[in-house]
Amino acid sequence: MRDRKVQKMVTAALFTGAAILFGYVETLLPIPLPVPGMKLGLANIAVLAVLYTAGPVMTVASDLVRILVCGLLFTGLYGFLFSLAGGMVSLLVEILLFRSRKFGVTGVSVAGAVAHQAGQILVAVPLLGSSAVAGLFPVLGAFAIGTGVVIGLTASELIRHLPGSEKV
Amino acid sequence: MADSSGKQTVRTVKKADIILIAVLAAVLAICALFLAGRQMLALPGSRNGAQVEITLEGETSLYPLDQDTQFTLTTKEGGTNTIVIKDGEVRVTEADCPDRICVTMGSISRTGQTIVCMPHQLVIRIISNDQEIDGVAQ
Repeated sequence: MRDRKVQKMVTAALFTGAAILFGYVETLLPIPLPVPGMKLGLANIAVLAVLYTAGPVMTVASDLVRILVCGLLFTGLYGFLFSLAGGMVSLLVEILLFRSRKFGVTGVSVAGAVAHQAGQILVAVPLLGSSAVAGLFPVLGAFAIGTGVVIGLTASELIRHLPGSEKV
Repeated sequence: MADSSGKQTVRTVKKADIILIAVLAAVLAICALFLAGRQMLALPGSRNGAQVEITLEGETSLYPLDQDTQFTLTTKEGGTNTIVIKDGEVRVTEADCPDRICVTMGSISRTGQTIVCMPHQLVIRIISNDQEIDGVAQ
């Protein structure tokens, strides 16, 4: 029983580290994406891996650490606020869909990716003092569906090979 | 899909996933069509006396779209964006923000179109004189 708990914590810690690295990799992309807020969401691979192997509580802890460290290292205050809002909305949706047991990793990933963009826009509107950014949602959401599918398939392949994961 | 662990066949994409993705795509498509429709109906801004609304760090100022001008905005932290209004088009030509997406976004000329610079909390939007109608009624 105790071993299982340790295993969960180690898994969460490992993937938190991986997620921070993913955040760094995303800043290295040579081609700037043409719309603000658009990103690949590589960190979602780590989020999903922790969710399916260590459960929701560890996932929230792991993701908060990631967002804080990435904010301090790479993205700055506004990047931090955007990823905090996006990350929390996305996590909420992903945990609910995961708990419902009706969806596979891919569905959870796509819903999380779209929710991330919605969360970012919810913060962007008061922060920028303009509702104009809401008009970016269809573009960001469509992109998020695409990345969500790819990230979801990647994550489900990874999760299948992790010890202690729920059946995917 | 073959499972390397040999225990069972695992379906990574369930039917519910496909339905979920389809529903999300449909909702986004409706939003996009609605926005695109509004933009198509809007005349190029300069013909109906449109204005350029610039919101920098929450403070809004207006410029006429039909008067060519060029100026540099400075944020409280010293970040700059150079804005050019020319021939009924607005664009950001120079910026010292980290991602420079505002420069990549190019020029805008129709009511409702926007350029956003997240790091500098800058939003540039073209609005028509009668703001609420947005040119649709014409």
